[in-house]
Amino acid sequence: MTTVQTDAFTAEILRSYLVNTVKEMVITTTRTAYSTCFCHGEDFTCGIFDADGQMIAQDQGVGVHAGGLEGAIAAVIRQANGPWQPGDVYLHNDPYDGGTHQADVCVVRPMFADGRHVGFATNRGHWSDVGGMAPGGWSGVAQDVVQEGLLLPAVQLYDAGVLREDVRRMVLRNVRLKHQCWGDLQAQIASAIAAERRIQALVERNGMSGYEAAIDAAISYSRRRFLAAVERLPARAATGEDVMEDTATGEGPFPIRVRVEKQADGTVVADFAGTSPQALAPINCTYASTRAAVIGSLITMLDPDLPLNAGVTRLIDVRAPLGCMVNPTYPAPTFGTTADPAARAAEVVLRALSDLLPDRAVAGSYSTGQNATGGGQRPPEEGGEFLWYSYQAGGCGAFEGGDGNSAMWHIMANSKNESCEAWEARYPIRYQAFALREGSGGAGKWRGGLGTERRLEVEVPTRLSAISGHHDLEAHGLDGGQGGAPNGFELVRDGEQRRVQHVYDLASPSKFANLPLQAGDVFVSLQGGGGGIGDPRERDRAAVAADLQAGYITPEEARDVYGYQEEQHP
Amino acid sequence: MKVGCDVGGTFTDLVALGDDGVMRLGKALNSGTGPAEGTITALRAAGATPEDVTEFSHGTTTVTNLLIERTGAAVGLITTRGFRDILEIQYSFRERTFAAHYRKEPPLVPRHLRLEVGGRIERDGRESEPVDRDEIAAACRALLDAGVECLAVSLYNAYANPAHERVVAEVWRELAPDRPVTCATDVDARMGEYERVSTATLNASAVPAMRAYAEELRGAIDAPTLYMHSAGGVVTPPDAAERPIQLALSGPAAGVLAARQVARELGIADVITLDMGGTSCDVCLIRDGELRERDTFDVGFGVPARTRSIDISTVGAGGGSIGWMDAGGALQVGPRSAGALPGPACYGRGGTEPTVTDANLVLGILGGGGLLGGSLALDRDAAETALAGLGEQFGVDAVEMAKAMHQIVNANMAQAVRQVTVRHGIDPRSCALVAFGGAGGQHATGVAAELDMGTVIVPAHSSVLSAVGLLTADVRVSETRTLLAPVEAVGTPDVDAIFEELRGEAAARLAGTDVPDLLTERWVGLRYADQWHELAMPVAGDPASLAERFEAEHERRFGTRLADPVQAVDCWVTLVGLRPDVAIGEAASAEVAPPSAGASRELRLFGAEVPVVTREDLGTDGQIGPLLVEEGSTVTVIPPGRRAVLRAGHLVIEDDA
Repeated sequence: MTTVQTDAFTAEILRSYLVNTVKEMVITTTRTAYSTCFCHGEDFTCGIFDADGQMIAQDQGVGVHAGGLEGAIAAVIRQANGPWQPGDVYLHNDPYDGGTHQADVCVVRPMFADGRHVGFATNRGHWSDVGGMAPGGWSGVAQDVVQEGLLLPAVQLYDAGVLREDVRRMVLRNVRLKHQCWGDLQAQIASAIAAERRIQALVERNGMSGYEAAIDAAISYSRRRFLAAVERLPARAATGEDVMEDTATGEGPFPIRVRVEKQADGTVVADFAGTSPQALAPINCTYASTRAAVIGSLITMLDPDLPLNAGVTRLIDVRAPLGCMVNPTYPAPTFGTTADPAARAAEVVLRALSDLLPDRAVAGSYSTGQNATGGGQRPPEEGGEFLWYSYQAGGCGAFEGGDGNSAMWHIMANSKNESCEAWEARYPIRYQAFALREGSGGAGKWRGGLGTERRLEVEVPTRLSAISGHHDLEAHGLDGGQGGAPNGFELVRDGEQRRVQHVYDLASPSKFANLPLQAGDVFVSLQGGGGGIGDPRERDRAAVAADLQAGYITPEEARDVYGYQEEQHP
Repeated sequence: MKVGCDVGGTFTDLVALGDDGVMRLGKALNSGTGPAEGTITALRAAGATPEDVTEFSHGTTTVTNLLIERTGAAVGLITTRGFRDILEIQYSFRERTFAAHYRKEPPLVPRHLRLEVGGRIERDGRESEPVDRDEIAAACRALLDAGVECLAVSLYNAYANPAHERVVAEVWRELAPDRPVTCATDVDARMGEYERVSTATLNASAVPAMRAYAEELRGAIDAPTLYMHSAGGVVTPPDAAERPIQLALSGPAAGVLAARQVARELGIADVITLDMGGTSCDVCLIRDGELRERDTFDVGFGVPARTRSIDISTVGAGGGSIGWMDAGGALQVGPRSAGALPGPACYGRGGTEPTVTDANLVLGILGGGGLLGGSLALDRDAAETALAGLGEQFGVDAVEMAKAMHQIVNANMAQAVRQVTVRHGIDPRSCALVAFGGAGGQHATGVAAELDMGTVIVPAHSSVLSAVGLLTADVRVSETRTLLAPVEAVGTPDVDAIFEELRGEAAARLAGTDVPDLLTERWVGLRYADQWHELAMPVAGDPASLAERFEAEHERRFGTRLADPVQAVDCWVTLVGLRPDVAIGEAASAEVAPPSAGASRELRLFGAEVPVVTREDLGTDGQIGPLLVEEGSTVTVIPPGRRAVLRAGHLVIEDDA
């Protein structure tokens, strides 16, 4: 018995080695990549798979990639040109076949050890550009997927270690910033090579049986841990509902509905029946992103540090009718998927789970990327062409037992703020403020987090494009808690601050392309607040006083909503 | 005598070097009060008195602890209008993607103590709106009325022109001459408003405590004193007290410096250092004898301090690390540590949870003789009980549990080493492992085996190596400025003038000290114009060669050259005051042979009765393991088939070829 147990400990050490192999893929990528997306935003996710395409380990990376690498691996295995050779590399980004959106390009490379094909290493990363009608891809007005960029079903770039020049030429001929894209691609491949070397070292030290034992340990560990967590879910169904607000042409709202229920064997089913049919606008959520939204929301509620792999993902069954907004088919636009639609799909699942797990309940978050780009031309001596790309954190929902975070990403996205001063040094803009939005958090016993406000004075004529959402609708509160302030895009021109929508007479407040800003205009990006939980009048009085002192809430809100009387609580 | 004294998380380590060239080692458990008591206790343990001290070099975790525990002074903050929330917004980043129930760290300065004033500096340093002294005075008074003990000032674009920050500081000093003020540009003069304001507030919060600390130490040790900073140099007590943020990684830096010298004494260019103490393990790569710096580190909770430090990684693996079963039923060791109090179960100070030290005692790596020269006896029964308790959860006995904990903590450290080497793009097998710290020798060969590293070095005086490093650390003071100019500007009279100004500012910080052999280093941070990260390059020789040297370094590190222009992001001057080296290996140690030396012990790690020897017993040919090399406060495990020899005074473990 003792020997068996020692082996179990060894397997645990090897399991942790596999998880760390993926971490080393991440380090390798950031060390060698070119673009801001990779280096600063760390907008990529790494994973290793066994020879059958079963996920062994994945880093948490970006939320919208959670567990979403499996579909891409399956697509590549299904379409591969003949048997695997050491040094093969495939590219994949097909949004209808395991992909998120085209900008997220997956590199898939088989791993060989001891002369055998033992698995795959993969790296999904956000390229700076994949072609299409708008630089960087965020066109709020696209009506079909081909307008949004290059589609890569499963394309072999290296054949047994030899670069296929024709494929390289074809890919680079179809993207902007080809220099950056190729650099980032090489970083993705380097990370896959690093993983293969680690697996080879493991097999050399511990034999093929050690590798197999490590995979078993990894998968059974995560399965065991997930099943233990799932026991806390009651055996009943719960539902969640929200909407995609609108399109650039003014249609909408479009409902998204989910029903979540645990099965007797511990499997969790999330069924999106009743969700609106797909729209011919970039507000659809590809199946891989929908799956990621479900997986991410489940582990958020059950066990946020759970190592993701097939042991968990096999227990999560995501059902979405083909052709609906969360499982779109050709030619529905999908570029927005990683920003608003995935965040919204996560919101409906979190809502259902909050019903099932009241002690872990979370209210709604601002849940958008607030993706906006500004571009234009300056004289060459002043810097020539410019393009800035802004995506923003806002207020997150309160949770049972705690206030929501202010100025923080929702669970489907994550990125570090770039410095305002560095932006001023690089782009023709001048920051007037970057601040919390007072009073934007939803009132409640637990208060929603505050959103943020950025005030950007443009110094030269600038074309403004954006995809965002929930500019009229609030992030929802729970159990008597109030909603958080909506998101917004506004403009100060001639001393007057108005919605961008009203300045330009648009159908949508949040989706537009190529609006002509004038020098001196101030673009105001308002990230919404999170929803509150519970009756504001039940909020701890000392907490209300502190909120008031900090200016998180206004005196009127304190008095009228929280029922706070200063003289009684000095 | 010259004294190096390092106050760590669990122990105070001290070494006293007399004119006779003998190193006298002292170690004391931290008492948790001020610096004086532990220092004096350790000094007496080394057989010396405060009156014997002629030169005192000090490393301390005081600032680290104060920052992590947030026990600093109440800080008020003044910023430019529109930007007071930068400190609270932070990076908006979650380390754990799905931790929606995690609460972001509250800002060090609450919102009502962050006040805004008018005035604006533009990106080119031009003033577009003046500051109003009356408005500033009103803000200062409001903060004083609210009871703040010190002020941080961090204005927008001040990196380009600190004039407005200086006005605010002036007004504050008029109103509150006794309360410290930190201008952000004085502790971090570079672009990046969040890093600057974060660094400034952290610094301000530590000034009052560090002033008191320096004062108390001065009362106890009346000798010229220098403090270790995070980048591996020493500074004067006033500089340490006014810029405490530079001390935030003081402790680990000294050990790495000494390890670098050990490598030099052995003629080894590439080493990885492993400094394993009671609470954590610090890992650092030294390549071609050079240390790599980083400009920013995380004080915890994602809060940055932008102050130069040696690039050291820390993993929560130490003698006090606690073993536990996680939610998936797997064994984990650390990062929680039993620390000095209650300490490992075997210390008999109230600890009941099994720690790595308990495991090593049960495995026979540690003898019953005790630590701290025998003054801390180890209770094997208590260790077994603690391990058996955890073992019950896994269905194994105490010995199997101990083996598993020992292996897992080794695997954790090996993983930290792998990540460091991956980050720098090198193969650990090409490096030697230099292990030190109280627990370093107990795990060095195990970690090396995980990594297939051929050579392990356990230096002389390894249990207090950080203190040894303090004895020889050079004085280093740096001043930095943002340039944002094409690389070609470096070498022009304009940039030379900036370097001269910076040299003057650095020299002013050394005023009143007696530092011989002052050298001036000039540095620039270079990047391709569109990148976000820069590389530090020394400005030496012909400035025209800078771009080429940068591109060669970029290619070496990242495998590529780009067709883009090269930009000088910032520049800095480091003044270096050289201090004489001490030959670490040759210095005799006054440590007494432990009682178990010459005997043998059951080493359950390998299931064998093995000899226990001292370094001196190894002889010129060395001895082949399994065996244990034991000295006053260090035990080194020599596994079967590996040879331990003494070389240049250091214990070297190699394959028996």
